[in-house]
Amino acid sequence: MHRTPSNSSSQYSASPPYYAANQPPITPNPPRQTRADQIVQNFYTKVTQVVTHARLIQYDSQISGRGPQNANIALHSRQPIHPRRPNKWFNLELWDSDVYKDGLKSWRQASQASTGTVLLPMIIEFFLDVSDLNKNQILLITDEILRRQKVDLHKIDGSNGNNKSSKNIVLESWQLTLSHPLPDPLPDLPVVYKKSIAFFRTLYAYVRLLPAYRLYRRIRKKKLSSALKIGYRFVLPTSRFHDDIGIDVPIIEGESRPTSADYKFNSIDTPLGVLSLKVNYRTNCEFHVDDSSEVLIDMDENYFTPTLANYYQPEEQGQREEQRQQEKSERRKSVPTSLKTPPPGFPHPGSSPKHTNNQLIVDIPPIRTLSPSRSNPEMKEHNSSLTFPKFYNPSSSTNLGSNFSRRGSHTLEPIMQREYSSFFSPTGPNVTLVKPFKSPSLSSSPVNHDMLPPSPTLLDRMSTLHLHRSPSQLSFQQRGTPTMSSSVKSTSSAGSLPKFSSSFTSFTNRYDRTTGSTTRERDGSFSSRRRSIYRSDGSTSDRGSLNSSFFTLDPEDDVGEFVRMCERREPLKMFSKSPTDSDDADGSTRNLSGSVYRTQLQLSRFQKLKEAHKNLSESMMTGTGDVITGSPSSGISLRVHQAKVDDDDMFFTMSEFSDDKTTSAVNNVSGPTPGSSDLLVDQPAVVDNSSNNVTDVTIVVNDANQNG
Amino acid sequence: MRSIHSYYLSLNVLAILHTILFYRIFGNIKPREVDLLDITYSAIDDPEVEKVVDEKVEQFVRNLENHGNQKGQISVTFHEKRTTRNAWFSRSEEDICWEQWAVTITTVICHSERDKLRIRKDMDRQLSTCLFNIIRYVNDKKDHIPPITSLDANPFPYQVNYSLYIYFYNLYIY
Repeated sequence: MHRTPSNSSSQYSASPPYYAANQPPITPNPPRQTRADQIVQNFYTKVTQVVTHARLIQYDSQISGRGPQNANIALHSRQPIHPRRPNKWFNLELWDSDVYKDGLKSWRQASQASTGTVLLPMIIEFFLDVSDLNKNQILLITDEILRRQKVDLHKIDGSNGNNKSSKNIVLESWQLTLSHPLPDPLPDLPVVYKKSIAFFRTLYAYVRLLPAYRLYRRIRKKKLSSALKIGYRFVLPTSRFHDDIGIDVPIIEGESRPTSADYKFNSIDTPLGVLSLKVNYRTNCEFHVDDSSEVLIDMDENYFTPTLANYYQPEEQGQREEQRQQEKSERRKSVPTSLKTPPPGFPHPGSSPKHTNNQLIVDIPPIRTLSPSRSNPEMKEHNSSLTFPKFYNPSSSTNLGSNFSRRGSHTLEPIMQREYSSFFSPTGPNVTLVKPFKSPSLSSSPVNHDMLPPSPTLLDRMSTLHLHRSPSQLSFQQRGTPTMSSSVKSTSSAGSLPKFSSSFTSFTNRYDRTTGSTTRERDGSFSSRRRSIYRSDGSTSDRGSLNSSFFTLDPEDDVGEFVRMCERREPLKMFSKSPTDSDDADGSTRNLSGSVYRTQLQLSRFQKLKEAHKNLSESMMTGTGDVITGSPSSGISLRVHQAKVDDDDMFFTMSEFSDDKTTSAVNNVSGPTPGSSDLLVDQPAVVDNSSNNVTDVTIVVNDANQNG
Repeated sequence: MRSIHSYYLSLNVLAILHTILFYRIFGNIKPREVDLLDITYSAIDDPEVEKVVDEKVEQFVRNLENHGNQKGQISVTFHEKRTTRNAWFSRSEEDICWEQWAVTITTVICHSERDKLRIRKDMDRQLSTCLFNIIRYVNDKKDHIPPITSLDANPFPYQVNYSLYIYFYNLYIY
């Protein structure tokens, strides 16, 4: 029964001394004892009420509704209108709720059963219930520097035993005890009541200042699909919760602030004992649920690891394996798009350098080897769904780029692939797209740069006949030449020059991208086999057959089909031109259509700008005036010519790059080479200084003029 | 002593006043929660109390701004009516203040966005510290609370005063 406080206080207000005469504790006045008892009982109830009200969403839904409609008592908080009973004890009006009734009852029974007179300490624990998290959802916690970290419940306290049951994270533990000895003198009930009033006010406010309240508020606001719940339980002596993660167990390692804290409310003396409430709480309750896949989260974590470090990291098993394979399959799927798109003027060997010299790119097996391990259709689909939408999405390409960079050696190429896939999208080249994504990885991994330049020369040596322009030819060549280059790769030294011009990479990477997935192999034998296949034939027709044979080698039907589809498709209009059927390096490129030419112009302009910038920086570094004078102007003019120049010119350029140190490489970007493939062959490993470059440039100019 | 951005001045003062009153209006009250940025403080769900507090805070803020002061103090005092029995049948009621809370507010003018953010974070921290302190005081000192002798909803009348360093303005509220 609820007695209004005023009644009780009025009974004692008449007594003049405020503190009632000391009465022996042994023989308390029965009605007083009853009242004291009542007060204490309701104290417990009220504590439970206040605390659960601020933690449990279901408090409101389970408000006990007995009694008349209390329209005049309407709390401002979200309350449905139904009969309910307010609990006005201690001058704090709250609705009774069923949410805690059962627990309280069981506690009362347990305490009465145990000792009979002295109540057991009432312990209420609130924990984070993550049992509703499904597989795609990750539990995160925000640490003190506002970074979200993944929470792995099973590994927190080192126990890996039962992975099926999800552990609960205990957030708070409230403990209310009635302790003996009885205070002396026995306090007067009004005093007790008055102090309780103040006590409950502070409790009500305090429970909303704790960190767990913010979590509760967030959960309450979300309402819909919150997988997080705050559960509570009364801790009885018989209950054991070993599996749960205690308050003191840190979830984030290395946090400077303490994991837990506690607070003790001042005790209140009652005729029955001393009531004291204390709370032990977890200081960091900033839990979140993330719906994205685990892969992406891992990508984000390692996005900023230096690519060089990634390069030299040994292959790791487990997650890295999976991710690498995933990325490989993604890259593989990117091959078809790149195959059909590269401009005819771009030499295929450009792609090979990357492979040949990049000995660290060992993770990229050919499609054939990939396929057995990747026969999981789900994963393929998933990857393709990941890959393709992202081809034309610049923002997501960085994501995938980072995905690649995460693993050992693919930092540059996959990013290039992504970039160029978007670059060559039917929507038109987005030259500017290339640059931003390229620079981070490029700049951070000079080794990558190095890889690209030398390869063209080697490739050129190997197969001068394979430098051809038709899209199908290109596609074939891209696939073909890398195999050759792979053999070359084995011969080239890993210590290729790290200096490299970014504009060159813009060329080379295109080919790299296209050929990347197909040509990267650790297995030299396979490459040599491929090489033998491709080298034996110099004709287009053979290439065509080789194309098909190439594809038949690929057991991955999805990729093969897609590649075929891309092959069948017409090349991009901007890069389309009449297919040339000659292996002649000179003549084919003159037939560029206007649109292609325009595209080439755009490309060349971009490249020339880049080159100019590079030259400037190089000149600053080297201090040679030649570099500046030589390349920009010539580069500019050459750019235009480059559009017209055939593949051989490009090849020459590539070879220059491959051999050059940084300075020379920069200049070489600008300089198309003389037109003949013979020159290409001769060029390798020649240029070492800027002067040479200048010379080369002039030569090219002459040639271009001749050609033009 | 707290420094707050002027935009949040009134909100903060409200928060503190409400909190104080929440602890000291001993009549039966309905609690309500008020969210201020990241902090939730408890207030009394009583329109009269709200009206009084709002009025006072508004006046305080207005005065502060008008006079260009950066510092102001607002105080809440709690009284009790005590009837003293005079020697000769006469009774006089006394208003004895048994508790006084003084809140000093300093406003800070921010010049840049970054400053604003910083000050706001500071303000958050200070407000929550302030609320925690209030809780601690209320918890610790309970013995001085005079006995509840009246049956009114609010046995302890309170006053909210604010003072600027220019002039003093009192308003008595019962």
